[in-house]
Amino acid sequence: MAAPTKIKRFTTPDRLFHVALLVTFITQTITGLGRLYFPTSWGKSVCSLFGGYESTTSVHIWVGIFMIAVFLVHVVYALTRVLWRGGKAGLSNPDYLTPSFRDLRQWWQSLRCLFGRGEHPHFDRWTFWEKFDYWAVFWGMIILGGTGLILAFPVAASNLVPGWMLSVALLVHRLEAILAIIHIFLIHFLMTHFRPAAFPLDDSIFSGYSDLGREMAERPAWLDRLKQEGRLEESLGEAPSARARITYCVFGYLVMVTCFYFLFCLFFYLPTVKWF
Amino acid sequence: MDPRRLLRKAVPRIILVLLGAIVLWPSAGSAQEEVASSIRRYRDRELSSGYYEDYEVRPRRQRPLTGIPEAVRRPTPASVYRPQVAVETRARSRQDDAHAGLGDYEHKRCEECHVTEAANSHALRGNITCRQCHGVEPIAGINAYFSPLNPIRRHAYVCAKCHEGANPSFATFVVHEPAPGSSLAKKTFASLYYVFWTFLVLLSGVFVVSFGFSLTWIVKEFFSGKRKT
Repeated sequence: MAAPTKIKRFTTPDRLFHVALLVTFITQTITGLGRLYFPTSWGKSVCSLFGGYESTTSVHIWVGIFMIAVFLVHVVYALTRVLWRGGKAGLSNPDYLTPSFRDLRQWWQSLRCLFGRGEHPHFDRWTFWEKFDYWAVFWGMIILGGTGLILAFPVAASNLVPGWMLSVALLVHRLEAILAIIHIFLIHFLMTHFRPAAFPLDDSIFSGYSDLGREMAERPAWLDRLKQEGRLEESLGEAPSARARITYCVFGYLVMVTCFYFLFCLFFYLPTVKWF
Repeated sequence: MDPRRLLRKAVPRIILVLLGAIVLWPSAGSAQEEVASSIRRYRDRELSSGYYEDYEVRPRRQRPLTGIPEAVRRPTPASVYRPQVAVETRARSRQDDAHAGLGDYEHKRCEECHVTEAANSHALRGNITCRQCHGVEPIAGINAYFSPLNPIRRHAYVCAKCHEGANPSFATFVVHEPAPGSSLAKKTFASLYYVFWTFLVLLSGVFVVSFGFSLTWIVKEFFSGKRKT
């Protein structure tokens, strides 16, 4: 029997939440940029994909509400998984994405290593940029979700906040959305898929399994911990079938090409948009 | 056939056709109805008031109900309830007719003088014309006491026409908002100004730090020979 080449990194709920986030985020990007750039001919053509300006607005609002619902489900899931199973000790479990001072130390170590002043940090299961990407979604969801609800129900919202805050909410919503789009489409894709160690595509988030050799080089602390806890053998697995890998690759690249196209158009048409 | 009999049959029919044409023929005015731009319509005002803005149309049509001199609106005289200073105010935003005395006003469009105000979210995205909120002639200044846009009644007379249930808080929404990063915004809409610059600094900072780090990491990995196994 061939030696196992893969190690399990993502559970099924992790993969499902990621797919849900991926699909909703891209839908919101397309509808949101279509609305933002509506005064341009490009924006009008994007809105026509959904049947016009008003339909695009409806899609944007309903997918946004769905996104908030998925976010709340994830929060409940994470709390039950971390606190209910592990109690307070669960928070410091390295298998979870809880930020710690160790992440700051590893970030500083990485900076030094990049300039040839130290050795590469020994990452555990989650690197500091992966934790940053995870918690950045919380920041984005709170700001975008909050301002989005205010904008979707302006008359009701003006009972709670002054009406002039609707203008501020719209500005915050747009700027935060642009920040999220640039961060995900540029930085997340760069660090996840375009690093030489992962190029052309890191399909571990789709298949759940990551390359064992690569993890031995990049996350030795994680593998050592699994060995000490006696969980290494059960975490190993085989590579997914060729058909599955092709599907992940095609899907991943379709998504990335779409994202890069919208990122390009975001910058290209930026001087033409009025901030209202 | 006998030509006289033919004529006797044809003439009444010709007369009927001519009468029909006179009655049903579209009036010259509606043929000359001109629309300012492809996305702007005066539909709300045309349907609701019957007062047509004829300064864009040639020749000018006689406006119904305003051609009679006695029906022309004159400024309300001073009284106990309206002191002379209010009657004599020179601030156009407080006058009952904000455009009174302006030269060649009747030949101008709104956006010729109000350039920045014409480009607002309601006009660009909602297909709403200036007059749908600011009313028909004479257009009162927004702070004039009887103006529909006066903040005391704006939510009911203007906002609620489209936003059902609008309240006075809702009416504090700034339709003609200044450019968020401008000095005008700092003076008139400070929260917008400071939120804009704070987010811009945050956006730039996160982008520069993250992108710089990511790019450097990738370049280092590329030159250290790491490849996918």
